[in-house]
Formats: sequence, structure tokens, C-alpha cells
Amino acid sequence: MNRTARAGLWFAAPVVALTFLIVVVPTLGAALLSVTDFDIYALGDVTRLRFVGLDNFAVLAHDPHFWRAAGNTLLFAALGVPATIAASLLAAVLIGSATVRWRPVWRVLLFAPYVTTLVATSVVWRTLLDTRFGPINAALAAVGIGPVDWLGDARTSIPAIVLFLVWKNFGYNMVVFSAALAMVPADLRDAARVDGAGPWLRFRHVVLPAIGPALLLATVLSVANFLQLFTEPYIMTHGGPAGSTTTVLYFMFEQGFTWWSLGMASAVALVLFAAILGVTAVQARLGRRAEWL
Amino acid sequence: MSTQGAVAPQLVSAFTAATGIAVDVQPLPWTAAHEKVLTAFAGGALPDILMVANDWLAELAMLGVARPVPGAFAGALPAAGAAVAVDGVPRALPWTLDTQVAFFHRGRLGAAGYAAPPATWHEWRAMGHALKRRRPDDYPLLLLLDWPEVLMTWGAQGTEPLLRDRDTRGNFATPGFRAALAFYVSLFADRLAAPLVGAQAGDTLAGLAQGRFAVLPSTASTVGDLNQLAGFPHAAWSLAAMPTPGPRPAPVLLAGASLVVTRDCRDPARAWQLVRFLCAPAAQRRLHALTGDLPAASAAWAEAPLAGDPLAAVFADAFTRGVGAPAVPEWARIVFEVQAIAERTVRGEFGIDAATAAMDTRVDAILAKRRWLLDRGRPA
Repeated sequence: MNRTARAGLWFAAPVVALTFLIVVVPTLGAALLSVTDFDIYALGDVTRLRFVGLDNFAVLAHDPHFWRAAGNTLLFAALGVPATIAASLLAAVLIGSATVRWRPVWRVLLFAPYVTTLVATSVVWRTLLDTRFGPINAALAAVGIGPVDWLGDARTSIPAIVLFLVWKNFGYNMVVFSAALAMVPADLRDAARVDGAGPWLRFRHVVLPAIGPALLLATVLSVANFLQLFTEPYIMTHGGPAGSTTTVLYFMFEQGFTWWSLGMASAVALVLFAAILGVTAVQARLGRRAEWL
Repeated sequence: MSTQGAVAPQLVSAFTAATGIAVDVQPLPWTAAHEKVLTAFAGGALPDILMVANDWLAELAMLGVARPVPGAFAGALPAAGAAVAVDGVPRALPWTLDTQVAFFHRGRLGAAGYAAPPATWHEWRAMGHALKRRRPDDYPLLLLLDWPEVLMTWGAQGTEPLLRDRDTRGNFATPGFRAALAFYVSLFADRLAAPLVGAQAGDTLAGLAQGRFAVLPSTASTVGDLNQLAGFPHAAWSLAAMPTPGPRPAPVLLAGASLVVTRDCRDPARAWQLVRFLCAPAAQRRLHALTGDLPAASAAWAEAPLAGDPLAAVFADAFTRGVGAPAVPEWARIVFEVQAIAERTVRGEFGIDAATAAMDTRVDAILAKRRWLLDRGRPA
């Protein structure tokens, strides 16, 4: 090992050590907990702990509440990821268009929700979505649509929270897309225009291929975020009504911190970890092959 | 906790004035309190004194959080004294006592020919239909599907306990609980109660005041809340005992709160001094005046304003037949999961027999660890 390599190692060592302490050790701890029945009794006296092998996973596989939570999480992701990406891309393209003035102001305004405190915005949105006094229902009433019980009805609770999530999160991807759009060579666009391509064809064949990697990154991050959804349903609906907004992470929180079944909660965490790893691997592979871009 | 937490500084300031001991009070909402207490225990950050729901005492005793009460204590209502004992050892001083009662809108009941809700399930349903006939589009009763207290109250009126085999198995397939669940579900099936959860119901007290529904089962602190509600004079509402399966008096499921001195307390002698101060009749009367909570000290009941208060008399009568919830650490979870199955039954996913069988299966699974511990002679 030469001098430079050794110096590099020393510079990397603190980060490696911290990552090991903060990420690797707790993950291994969770893996150990997941094969025990750590519960409220073991919390009081650790000699009441039992090794149960894969029982927690077997119980989980037969628990309708877990499958319900998994289904809800997938629904959140299926609605939320395309909506967030589409909103971000639209906002980035609009902001990037040559005719827009006061560009930095728009960028700040549209990015603001992303950096605002989640709890504060959740409370504001709960007011907006209020059945009787909310502005959203007032606007719907003006066009003759009867009051919708957004957060109280099991059929509308997920769409209502997705609406909030899209508003809250599209700013981040918008900035990523804006940066990618700025990298699209102007002469390529001009060449396409000279060749007679309209706005849609230029977007489809010049812009989209150029921002492909950014699109992939944004999708991977959004999917991972949606699969780990917890705080929004926790604040806005407490997982209800009738469990319709209970996500996998919310289910894990309930198992772990409401009922103190930490063994079961760790099993849920590992299942979610494996699921996100798997989905991300598939996305990365699809992304590499994405000739369509 | 919640309203009690909000007024606690006023109660504690009298103690500080009398003894010179400064007390920090941290109010918690009831909805988050149980989690916070357990997290504080796991993190070694328990306060010296905790106000807890009596249902949690078995759990806190098992964890070693709740110190046994030193010396004798007297002066509590018998039901309150029984509620704080775990395996015969008092683990807290009783602070408040409570149970479910039916609050009602006098105007709406009067219009249907009732002065007050009647005494039995059968008559209650008849009252519901009478109210429904006058206003077919309204639901006369408010029973929220994520509030487990009403079903548990009716379930506990039977002769069989809710758990069996030394509280290690569910006992929900008994005739008594099946009848209670059938009555509960029938109120929704007959459209006497809307299948709503708490988040959908809006402000329940304002709903009662406006007469959107006529009967609201709730607890004593609702008395205080209604007294403070503008535009709903005292003469416009009242309360009655919850209905029973038949004309004979039935057991009444008690709720209530007590004060625990924790294992980590640095100065137990002073902590018990404060707890005894708060549980003494003077502080208890003050609490009642501030929140409407019902004191556990019997001396506070012997004089005005509680003595001679017809509303308080309904509670006092119920307390004489009071029974506590099973003293197992898993009880809070059992209540939650049983109500979840009841909600699905109301929504038509289960018949009564299938529902009570599912409750027993679920509760048996929750209590598996307790069985294992007891089978090995370990204290659980």
C-alpha cells in the first residue's frame, strides 16, 4: 500500500466506522431480534426471552393485518410515484421554458413545501381536507360535488394522503430534473427544431433521453420513500379509518412501540428491507436496459 | 393526562405552597400516554410519579415500574381500592373512578316519549326505533367503531369473565358475550347507529348539543366538557346508566386512573407524600370542580357538590357493582383487537359466532407467552 492509498484509508475511516456503528450494527441487531419473541415480558426481564427461529416470519405470512398493510403500501406507491414524477417533470419543464420570468422565485415557491416541517404541513392539509369546513370541499361544492369525507372514508383516505404527499415532495425531484434539463445541449434542440420537430417530438427524442439517468434516480428514490411511508398516515389518520391507511412501516411501529413485540417488529423490518432491495435491483436492471429512452 | 394534565399545575401548586417541594408536571395526551410510558421505561427516563389508567397497572407491576404502596391506605371507594391491586398488592393510590354512561339530549328523547334512556337492551332498541321513526334520516345513537368501551361494557355484563384459565385464554364465545356482540351489531344493522370511526364523527359534544344524535355513551369527564359547552344549557341534557341484558342489575366495567410512584424515583418518601396529597379529599374535590372527574376518595362523595348531585348518583350506583378489567399486561392489546373484529362484524365480514370464535383465536395467540410463563411457574 502506498502513501496515497494509506492517506485515503485514513480519510475514509471515520465514515466507514460511523456507517458500521449506525447502519450495520443495528441491522444485525434487528436480524437477531427477529428470531426471538422479544416482547413486553422480555422488556421487563430478559430471561423471559425465547429463541423462536423463523416463527415470526411464519406468523407474519398468515397475518391479514400485515397483508392489508402491504397492499396499502403498494397502493400508495402505485398512485404516488407516477404522480410525483409527473408533477416534478411538468414543473421542471415549465420552469425551464424560455418564456418564464422570475425563475428563481418560482423555484423557491415550488421547492418550499419540501423543506417545510412535515408535521406542520400535515396539520394544514388536515384542515384543507376537513369534511365540513375545508376549502377543498367548499371548492367542490361550488361545482356541485357533495361533501367528500377525505380522511374519514376508507375509499378516499389513500388518494387524499397521496395528494398531500405529491404536493409535499415534488419539489425535490423538480430540482433534480431542472439540473438535468439544464444539461441538455441547446444545439441539439435547435437542430431538432430546424429539422421540423414540434415541442412534443423534441421533448420525446431530445430531452427525455438526456434526462434518463435523472429520471431513473428519481424513480428509485421515490419508490423507496413510498415503501417506507409512515409519518403522514400517522399524523393525518392514525392508520385508519378501518386500517385503510396502515402501511407496512406503520404496522411495524404498532408492533414495536405500541405493543412492544420487538421480535415481530424486527421481522417486519427485515421483510421490508428485502422488498425494497429487490425492487431497487429490478429498477436498476430495467434502467440499464432502457433503450426506449 | 389530557384534561387532568392541563389542571395538574393548579393542584400541585397547593402542595408546593404547603411543603415547599417544587414539582414539574408534564401533560401527555391519553392517546400517546401508554406508548410514552413504555418508551420511558425502556430508555430509563421514567418520571418519579405517573398518572396511569388502572388497566395498565398489571403491566407496570410486571415490569417492576410500579412500587408497592407503603403502609396502609384507607378512604378510597371499595371499587377504587380493588382496581389498584395486582395479585393482592396495591401498586398505586386510586385517583379517579369512572365508567361508561349514556349521555342524552332531553329534547329529542322527550319528543319520542322518553324522559330518559330505559334500563334494558331490549327497551333501548325500542327507544332507538322510536327516535328513528321521528327522524328517519338520522342515526339516534352515536357508537364509534374504533371506541371499544361500549362493547366491552356490555360484554362485561355477563356472568362469565372475559378471559379464562387463569386469564390465559380468551372467553368471548360465551353466551353472555355473544349476546352483547349481537346486540351491538344489531344497533348498526337496524340503522340506529352509523358505522363511523372517531375521525369521521367530528365534534361529538357539539353533535349532541345540536341533536344530530340523541344518545352518546361516554365517561364522567364529558360532564365537565358539556358544562363548559356554550349554548347547551344544563337542563337540555342528562345521563343515565348503560342498559343491561335484563331487568336484574349487571356487573359494571370500571375505568379510572391512579397515581404510581416509579421504580426509578429518587425520593420515594416525598413522592408518596405528593401522591397522598393529591388523593386526599380536598385535592379530589378540587379536581372534580375543575374537570368533572369523579374522585376515588369516599370522603369527597359524602359532601356537596357530589352528595345530592343526581348525575353523580348514577355513577355512584354503578360503582357499587363495579368489576375491573382482567389484570393482564396484554389487556390493552386484547381490547384493541377484539374491537377490530367487532368493527368487521358490523361491516358484515363475520357472523356473530364466527366473530367470537375469531376473537378467541386472536386473544389466545396474544396470550401465548403468558401461558408459557405460567406453565413454567414463572410470575407473569
